[in-house]
Amino acid sequence: MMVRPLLLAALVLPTILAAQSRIGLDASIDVSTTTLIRQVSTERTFTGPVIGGAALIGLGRFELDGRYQQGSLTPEAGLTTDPEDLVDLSVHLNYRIRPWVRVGAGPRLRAFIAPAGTVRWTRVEVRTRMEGSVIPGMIAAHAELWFAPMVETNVQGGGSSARGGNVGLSLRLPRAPLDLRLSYGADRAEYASGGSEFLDEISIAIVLRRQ
Amino acid sequence: MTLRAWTRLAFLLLLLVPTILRSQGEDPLARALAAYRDLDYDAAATRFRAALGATGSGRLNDADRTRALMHLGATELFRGRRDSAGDAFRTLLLADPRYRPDDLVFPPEVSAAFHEVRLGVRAIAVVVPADIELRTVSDRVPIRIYASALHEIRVFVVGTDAVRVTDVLHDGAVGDSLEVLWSARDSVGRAHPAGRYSLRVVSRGPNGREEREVRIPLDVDRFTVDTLSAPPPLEPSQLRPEMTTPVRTTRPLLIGIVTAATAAFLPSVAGAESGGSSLRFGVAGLAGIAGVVGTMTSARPRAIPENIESNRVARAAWEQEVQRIERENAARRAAPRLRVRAGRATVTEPR
Repeated sequence: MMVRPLLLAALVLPTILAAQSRIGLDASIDVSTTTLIRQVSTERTFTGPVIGGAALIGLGRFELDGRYQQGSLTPEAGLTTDPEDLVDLSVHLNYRIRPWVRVGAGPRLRAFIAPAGTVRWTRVEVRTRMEGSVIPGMIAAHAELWFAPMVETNVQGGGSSARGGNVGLSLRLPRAPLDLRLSYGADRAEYASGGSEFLDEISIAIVLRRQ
Repeated sequence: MTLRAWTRLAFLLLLLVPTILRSQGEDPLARALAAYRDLDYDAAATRFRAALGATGSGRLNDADRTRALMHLGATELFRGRRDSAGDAFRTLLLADPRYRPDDLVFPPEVSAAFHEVRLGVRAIAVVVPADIELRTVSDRVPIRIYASALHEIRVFVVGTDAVRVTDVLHDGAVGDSLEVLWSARDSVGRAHPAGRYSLRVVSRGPNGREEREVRIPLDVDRFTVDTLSAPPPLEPSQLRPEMTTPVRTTRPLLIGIVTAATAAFLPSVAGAESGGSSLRFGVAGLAGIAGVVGTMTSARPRAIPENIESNRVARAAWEQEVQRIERENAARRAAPRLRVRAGRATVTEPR
């Protein structure tokens, strides 16, 4: 239900904003296969596809990017637990220190929605991202790491810590302002009670560059 | 020279200067006009005719001649000689078809007699610029024609052979005045050859018979206009490099290894004791391969699409400018400038 508006926004927003002069813009849509490993007394694993979209507006050295993901994760065979819906929203303000490195910070809201209840995570992340050309004009690589100095959750006595990262390759499509991006992401958050949630994903994205 | 001689010379000058000045400002029609004003019309007629018949240095200029003829006509009218008056007015109108008597100077019966004669005289005056340059195809020589009275005229230009009619500019009635235009070009805009042409304006009577013709020689000169020079060819410094300078570097390999290592160990970096999708090793492998390929190809010159496109636009703009100048020069060569100089008008009356 949410996918269509998301796709529409991802396609229309770049056009509107690109009309503004001197404003850089990236927009992307992605699909990923996501795995959630939750360790609270026992280990339970969920997998499923997640669809998302992201947009980045740059003005000078500053950038504002936002990302939204949503998907349904089903428990591995043999588990009696219910499937869970994943919703993840993050907004970051970045500063580009060099053309190939930037730092940023911002909030992330994440929820695992199940019939028995919803697990909500609220955290503030600090991150750094590096980019470089591997095959000039054709393939670029990026690596991103983050940690959360502030983590809150509504279960297991609250949150303790969280950190993660994302790494991938972007193939620049010839004669089109498009990149095809393959990336891997991993994120681990710990409960104050000692348990943890580990989320990793392999995703493919189409990125529209209007810079 | 002695003082006495100087005194004689000064005295002589004092005597001569008033005589010289009086002779320069003297009206050649003064005596005739005095007799006219004294109502001594016999004497006035004799004196006006004498003035009109003067030759050599005493010959009247055009303005005085016009004045003399008008007053002679009025004088003859007052003497009761309408035929002689008509002859004077007719002669005046043939010399100056645009002339009209001043109603403040001449009484109404004189003006009425003049206009009565004017309506029967078919004469025209033609005014053409003495020297005019036709720079473009749309430029024209303005030819202004003044008529003494409404009548039929034919205006045409005869070619350099003095026989063939090159252009017919007007064939119809003229009232008070008329302006016609001559392009000195043919119907498709090609300039006439240089040479002497003749503008002819023929006045025709009610029966269509040619009564009078005014001819003005028109000397046409052609001269080519300067053409534009082609833009200088694009200098290499005006173009961007289209290929990269080949420099062997291990930077792509380093980036590929760092990316591969990050992908492989990211779960551990995130703090996971185990797990993580094995597909991450695929990402790591691709990053490593890309790094190796990037290092190997870094020594090869690589096309820079942005610069190639920029240079293409620059070359296209240069070629467009060259074509524009070629078109402009072709147009200038096809339409040379013309200079038209008009000569003195002559009047003939076919018998």
